[in-house]
Amino acid sequence: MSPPIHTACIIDDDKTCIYVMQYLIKKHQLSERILTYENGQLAIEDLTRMLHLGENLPEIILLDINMPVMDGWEFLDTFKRIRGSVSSPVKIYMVTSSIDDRDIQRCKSYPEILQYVVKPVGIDHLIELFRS
Amino acid sequence: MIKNLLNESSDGFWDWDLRTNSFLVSQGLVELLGVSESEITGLTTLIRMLQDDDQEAFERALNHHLNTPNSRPAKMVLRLRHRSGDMIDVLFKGLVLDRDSEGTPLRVIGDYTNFTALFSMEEELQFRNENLQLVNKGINAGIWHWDVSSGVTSWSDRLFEMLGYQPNETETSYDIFMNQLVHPDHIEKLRSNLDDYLNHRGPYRIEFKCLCKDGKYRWFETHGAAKFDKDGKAIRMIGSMLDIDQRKQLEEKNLRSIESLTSGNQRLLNFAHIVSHNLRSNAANLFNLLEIFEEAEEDQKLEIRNLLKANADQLLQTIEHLADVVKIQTQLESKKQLLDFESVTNRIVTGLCETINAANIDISSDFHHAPEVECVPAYLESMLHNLISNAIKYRDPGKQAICSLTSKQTETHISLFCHDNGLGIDLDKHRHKIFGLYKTFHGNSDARGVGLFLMKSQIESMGGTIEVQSEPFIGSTFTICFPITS
Repeated sequence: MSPPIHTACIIDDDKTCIYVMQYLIKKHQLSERILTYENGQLAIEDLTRMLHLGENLPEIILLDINMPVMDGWEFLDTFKRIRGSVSSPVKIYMVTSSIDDRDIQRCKSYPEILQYVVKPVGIDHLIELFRS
Repeated sequence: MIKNLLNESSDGFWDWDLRTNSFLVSQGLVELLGVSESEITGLTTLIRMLQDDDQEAFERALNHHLNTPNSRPAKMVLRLRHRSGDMIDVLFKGLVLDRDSEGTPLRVIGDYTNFTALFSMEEELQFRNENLQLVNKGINAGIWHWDVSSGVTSWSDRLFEMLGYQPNETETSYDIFMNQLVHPDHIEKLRSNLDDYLNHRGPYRIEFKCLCKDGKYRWFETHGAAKFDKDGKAIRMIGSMLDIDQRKQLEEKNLRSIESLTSGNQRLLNFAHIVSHNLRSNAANLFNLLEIFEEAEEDQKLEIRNLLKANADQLLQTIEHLADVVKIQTQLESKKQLLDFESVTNRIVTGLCETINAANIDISSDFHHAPEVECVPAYLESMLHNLISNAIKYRDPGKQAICSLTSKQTETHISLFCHDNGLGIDLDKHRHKIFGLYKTFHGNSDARGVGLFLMKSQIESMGGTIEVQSEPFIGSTFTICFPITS
């Protein structure tokens, strides 16, 4: 069975979290390619470069909220801007350890976020995110 | 004829003809005395009805006029006993109308004018005046009076005293009061409140600050009421002024306490969220790592083991930070002491000397403007340690790093300044979260995002403030304000 998607993107400052998700995605063959970034700024820089080269954006982004330099919210605002009229669908999931109601409420004001996922993300849940 | 006239008169007339010994009285006199006409048989009846003290005086005065031709009519104030027992004040006048050639009186008339109402009105006025004076003293308020049309103003002695003056020591005109005594920030609201009141929009009642003789402003509250003419224009106005400075200061203190409590609560709530966030992320990592550990290849197991250790370390650190923050509350109970900036700084610098040398940072201090501060010892050490460590950690590797510490004293605060020429922080982007827990801005691997949070908690728990000015690649200046207690 071929992976359901071509490129996945993980933006998280927690190295362990990136390692575990990468491991699970590879093991269950959920994506052919995985891009990882330690914060929103690094992701924006690379995604901007890809847009300029005419490359396809990742089909799925797993986005953390609390990160240094540029957090998840700032990433979303900036991403919306640089993406402009590029219409290829990107599934964005907020993946965070925060159960702060202010974050949950704020998430609702971003229609591009498909789901608010609280860590730890179990393997079944991860597969569901990729296949849905 | 004369009888008819007497009956018509409401005043107390009598008419005594000595030749016929007829004694006529007016209906007014009958009513004044409360007796029947037949009971009044002559002057002796009238004399009997006088208050004892007045009987002899009356006789003496009347006899003098009767026996002395060309003398002035008898005239005196008397008290009569009304049949009901009430005393009545009257003005008596007695006049000989006719004498014979020898000068012997032939006819005498008398007149009683009832004074009781006037007397009681005067008593009432005196009573009210006394009441006003007592109220004046009793309410402890200053009273002002303003004649709107003429502009003449007057103040009660108490009002002068409240502002620290002797009675009439300073001018009280509206202009001087408004422009020289009222605090500049309050002139406008006082004016518009007065304007509203004089135009019948609401009551005249306002709180404001007023300059006292000692050069300090105090809080007062004034109420007033005006008398309006038939066109609704104010003629004059009277008001009271109360010293509410103590109440106001208490209110302000309460407000500050509430603010401090609210911000403390907010801080604790944020702290709880952050701790839960960090504990959760470590716990989730440990959970996930253990899950994949079993099935992982041998070479992966080594890396997973390293990650397990890193997460266990982080977990421990989070718990230590938790203890640090809890310590702020418990340390606050330990007493503030007068501490010497210089010696605490020297101790910190000595402790950090290896790091300082490695970073080649130039640390200088000058505390001569305010050498000492009252502070919880552990807080001052912790704050100076954090300030200096931050200056080292976030120095700009492109230039000779400097960090200078200075202090200043104002009437209410002692300020500590820490200035560096390091990387700085983009405050336009990060101002709202710079003092947040676990907020880091530079992607430094050794940034914890705890130091500034701790400093803010420490200084705020002592009623002080911390602020920062910063520009990326120019540097930062942290200002910590310690309140001076009493």
